[in-house]
Amino acid sequence: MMRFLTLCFLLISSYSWAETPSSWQYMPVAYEGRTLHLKTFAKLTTEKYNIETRNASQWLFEAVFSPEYSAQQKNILIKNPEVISFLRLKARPDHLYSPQELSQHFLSVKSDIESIQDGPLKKAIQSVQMSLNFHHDISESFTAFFAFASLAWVDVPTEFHPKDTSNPPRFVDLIKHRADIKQTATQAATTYGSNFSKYPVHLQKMAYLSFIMDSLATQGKGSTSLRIIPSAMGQPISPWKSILDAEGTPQRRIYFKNIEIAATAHKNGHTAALNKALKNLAILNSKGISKFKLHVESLYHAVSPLSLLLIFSAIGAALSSGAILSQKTLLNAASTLTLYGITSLLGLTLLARMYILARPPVGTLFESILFVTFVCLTVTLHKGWHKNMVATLTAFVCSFGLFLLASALAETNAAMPLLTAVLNTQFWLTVHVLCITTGYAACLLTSLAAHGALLTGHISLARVRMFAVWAVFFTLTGTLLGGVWADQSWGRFWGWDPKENGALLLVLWLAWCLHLPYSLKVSKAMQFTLLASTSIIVAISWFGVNMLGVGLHSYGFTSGVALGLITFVALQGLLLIYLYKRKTHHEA
Amino acid sequence: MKLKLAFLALTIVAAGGWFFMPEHSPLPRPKAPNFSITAGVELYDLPAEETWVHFWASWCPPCVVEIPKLLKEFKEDKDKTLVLVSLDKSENAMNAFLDKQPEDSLYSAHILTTWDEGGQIADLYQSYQYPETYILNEEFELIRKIKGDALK
Repeated sequence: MMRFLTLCFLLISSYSWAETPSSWQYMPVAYEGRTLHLKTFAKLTTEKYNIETRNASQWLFEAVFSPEYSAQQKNILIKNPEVISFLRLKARPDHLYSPQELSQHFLSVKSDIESIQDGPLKKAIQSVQMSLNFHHDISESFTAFFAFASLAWVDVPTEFHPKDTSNPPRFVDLIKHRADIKQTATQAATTYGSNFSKYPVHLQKMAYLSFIMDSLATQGKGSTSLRIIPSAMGQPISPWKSILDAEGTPQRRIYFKNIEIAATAHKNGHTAALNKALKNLAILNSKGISKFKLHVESLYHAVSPLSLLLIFSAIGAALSSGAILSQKTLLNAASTLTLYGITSLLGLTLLARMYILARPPVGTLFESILFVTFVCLTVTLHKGWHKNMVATLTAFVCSFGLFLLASALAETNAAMPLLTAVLNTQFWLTVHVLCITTGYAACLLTSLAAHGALLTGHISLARVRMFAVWAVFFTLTGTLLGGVWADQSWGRFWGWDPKENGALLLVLWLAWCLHLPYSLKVSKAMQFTLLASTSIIVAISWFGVNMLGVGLHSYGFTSGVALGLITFVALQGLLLIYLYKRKTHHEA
Repeated sequence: MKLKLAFLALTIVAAGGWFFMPEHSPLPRPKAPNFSITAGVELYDLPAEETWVHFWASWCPPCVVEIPKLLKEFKEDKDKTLVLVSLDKSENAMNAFLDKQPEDSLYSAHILTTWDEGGQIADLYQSYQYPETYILNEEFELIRKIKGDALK
């Protein structure tokens, strides 16, 4: 035990040794319309671009401050064997390749890339290219603040020398003369032609300087991701963008000064000066930003609640099936506790997202799944169904399924992109979406209850119908509210948009199910089956309509769900036919 | 009872939606750095509600086109002040250009000109591509920056 603890301690301490300065990790960076801690930014982006690293902020630090070293590190993950053979790379057990070798291989197959047909291989290659571009983007961030590789002050015309020439020249030292340098160089080219050697010495210097600055600027142009410099208006921008787009503001001086100090200090190995400059930058960037919000988001991404929820719902399912089989009260209590745990964790997740994004948690398909699951679980707990172990098991299995579905969609949504402004601003739309998603939840519950009734016979028809009434209430209200909102902003109440039609379909289906016994004589089993198949209608109007790819509700367009949806509908249909046959057989 | 509950739920949802509406609290506006315009007159001494700090040079073709337009605009609108900061190589080059402008438009109380020796003011404002205009409010806080033609 002691040994284990010592080992743990050693591991932890060695880990913290490798840490980059905390002011670096906690530097606010603009990302996707909001601000993140740099370590969260690093985590999200390295995950997005398949960069394998034990410590994302360390990777970012190296990429920014030692680009050449970073380019040799093998950390871009390529698992696709087709891509590896296409790029003529050697297969490696860890599937990791360095940006430098990848760039070389990409150059050598340049002509082949253009000839690839659209398809999975092209997509995979593009994704590798994007990883490479991202590495390039990040590693160019501060190159304007590094000394020129092949230029000393003697090569720079004296009229551009600053007062202090003790440090070698950098791009930033010459920004203000760039227009001049360029103009003189262009004039020289028109007078003396393109042969440098014919120029007078002074113009030779000028032309060389212009060439060096232009090539650096061309490389820097692609560097837009590390957005830490205030722009004249709006969101912060990357240093190169600030330089090249003439986004200078009176504040920029202080930021640039600190980056200059940090770059020089890092090169000369002055850790204290580096830390101080980074700290200054972090303080400058924190102005007017809620620190609490930044920490909430960091915590959110560090915890990654979706994977926790998946694990816990799987554990819960195991516990409750154990409880059913063994009839042990301890297992029973444990699974109930897990159900409460999942519900509160999910609630907290939704609250955190609401707080971070400052909008209701139903902006994306991904979020609406979480919300629906939350509503279903809350109703389960509120109604006291968790006392029935079969119901608890059902709750776990269903939420596991929904979380799985959510994680399939999470790839694009976990980074919480800000949506098109409509969902952020309109009060009516907010209420409308919340109402509709609550309606979906009620529909799911209706379907589940009907399944339960078909399976066990313990649930009465009146009860299932009551759920259907709630479902109609929320879906109809939600749709009408959406109409009111649409009327206010677009001047039309109804636009026959796929999503609107989906909601209408749901309302009509439920209304039809509810009114059926008044006009026709249908068996109970049939009514249960029809109500149970509400899940199919929900699946179609929730996910299915998004596949049509048209309409205003563009938040949900996805391509990967199609197969899953078809499978679900088929399986659900078969299950319902079986349950119906079984029920009628029993009754007969 | 059920109906009441439903309305309660709706109200909560609505209130939640209202509460989480994004607040538009812009960042504190940065204050423009002060500089001396002519002997004894500094930027912060100017009384106007709106001040335009305009960086230009007589060697810059778009600036040369824009200056007469600016002068005309400010001649008519006397609530605003225009500070023309010239990045010319010499004061004479600046004056040679300004002398060609109609006199009554140039030498009024709310149009001021200065020669930025060594580009110090431009450095303060980090303005290196001309023409550029910074619009300041009466507290001399930066409210807008315009790259290129400010009157477009």
